[in-house]
Amino acid sequence: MNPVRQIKVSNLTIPSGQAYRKSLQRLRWFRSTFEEQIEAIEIRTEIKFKLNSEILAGCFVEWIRSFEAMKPAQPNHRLAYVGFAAGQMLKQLIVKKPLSVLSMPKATDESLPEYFWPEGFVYVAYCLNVRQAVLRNDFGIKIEESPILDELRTWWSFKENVSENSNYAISFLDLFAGEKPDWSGSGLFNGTERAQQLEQLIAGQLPPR
Amino acid sequence: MAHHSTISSQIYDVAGLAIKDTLRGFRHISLYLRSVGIRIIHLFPAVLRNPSKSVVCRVDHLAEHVERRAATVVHHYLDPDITRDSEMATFARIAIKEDAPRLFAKTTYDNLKPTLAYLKAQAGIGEEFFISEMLSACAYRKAKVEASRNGDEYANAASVLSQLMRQGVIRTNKSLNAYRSSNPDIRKLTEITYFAHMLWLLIARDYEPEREHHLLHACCDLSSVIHGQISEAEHDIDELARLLRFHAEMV
Repeated sequence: MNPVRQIKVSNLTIPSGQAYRKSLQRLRWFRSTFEEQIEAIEIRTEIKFKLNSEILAGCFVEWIRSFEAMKPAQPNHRLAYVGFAAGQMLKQLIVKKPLSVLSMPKATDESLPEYFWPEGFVYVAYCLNVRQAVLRNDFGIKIEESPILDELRTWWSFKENVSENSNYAISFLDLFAGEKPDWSGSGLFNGTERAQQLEQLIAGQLPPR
Repeated sequence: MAHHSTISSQIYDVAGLAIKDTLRGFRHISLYLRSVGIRIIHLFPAVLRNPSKSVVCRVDHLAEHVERRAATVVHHYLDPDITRDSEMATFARIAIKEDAPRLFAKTTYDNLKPTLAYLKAQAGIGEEFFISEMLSACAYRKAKVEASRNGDEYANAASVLSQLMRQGVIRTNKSLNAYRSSNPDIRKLTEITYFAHMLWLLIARDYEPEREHHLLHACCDLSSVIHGQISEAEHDIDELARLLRFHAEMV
């Protein structure tokens, strides 16, 4: 099996000429890209999912509300907000649970995250893909996700912690994405700190001159 | 909503729509009677079941025949020459047409059917609904009189939405206006359906390719999520307009 890091949406189809972050703030593209993500994972894992589109719309509405409420005023914090917004999306998906498993393949390896927690796997893959797509297309930045993403131990901790406090979803997505998570203030956006960390991360991943 | 039509063309429109509604009503009732007959026959003792089956089969045959004939008449002779493409099916584009009420009524009839089908399946409701194209045109005309004061697209749409609810465009076998049904599930479904329909008429369609049924389903899901706000707004035009504007931008 390929590591989680390689599970991309087959084709994140959004209108050409439109900023990714703007498109994803519309239900039609949020929904179609999420469905594409499910399909990509179904093909790879042979797990069949059932999507409740009304609950998905509920996730979207809540996400937009929190997105607008916490949106930074300073233009230089916009880039740092991408990761936080993706984490908020993950939080809504985990809380509202729009996906359920219809069937699993006969033989599964539970040491792989996708079989350990199939729904959580789709949510994380989607939010990471969206985050990556926005950074790449709207800001011209490519950040490699962390190898931790493939560690089952981290997924145990992830599943257990988010069931107790859904704000941890934001911190765990940061961890999976290779950013430094803020465990104490998971649900709050600290633009200055996030912007500094992101700058360091980008600088660290650039090849030495 | 800037359009003009002559009195004679309005009379022609109303007469055409009334005939269509009557034929559809007959079709609706005959199909309903057929389903009731089939259900009742199972309750009969065995000795009566066979002769009764024969009677129901005849009624069934007749209902099917009527249904087919009515559908033919409605679709081939009375439907205006309207294509169901997405560009035409926007509220602003309908509003500038000369025969806007008739165009709106046709679009509403065509769109309420898949909207109801989708939402009924989501809510697990088996009730059959009747949609009146004539009352839909009537709702549009009445809203036009109210809405002409300000001219804002969303306020106009909100007035139409309110009128659709008041006029009872959607009916059931038990209620002349599903919006006022004694069954709370039917009332809720009707409110969501009307709102989703108006939202679908208002959303932007600048991107290609556009898949209409996906857009409609997105409107339905979103309307279900915000049902509490729709219900609370009732006939408050300003609030309905605000909800339509905010959520049309979201879809």
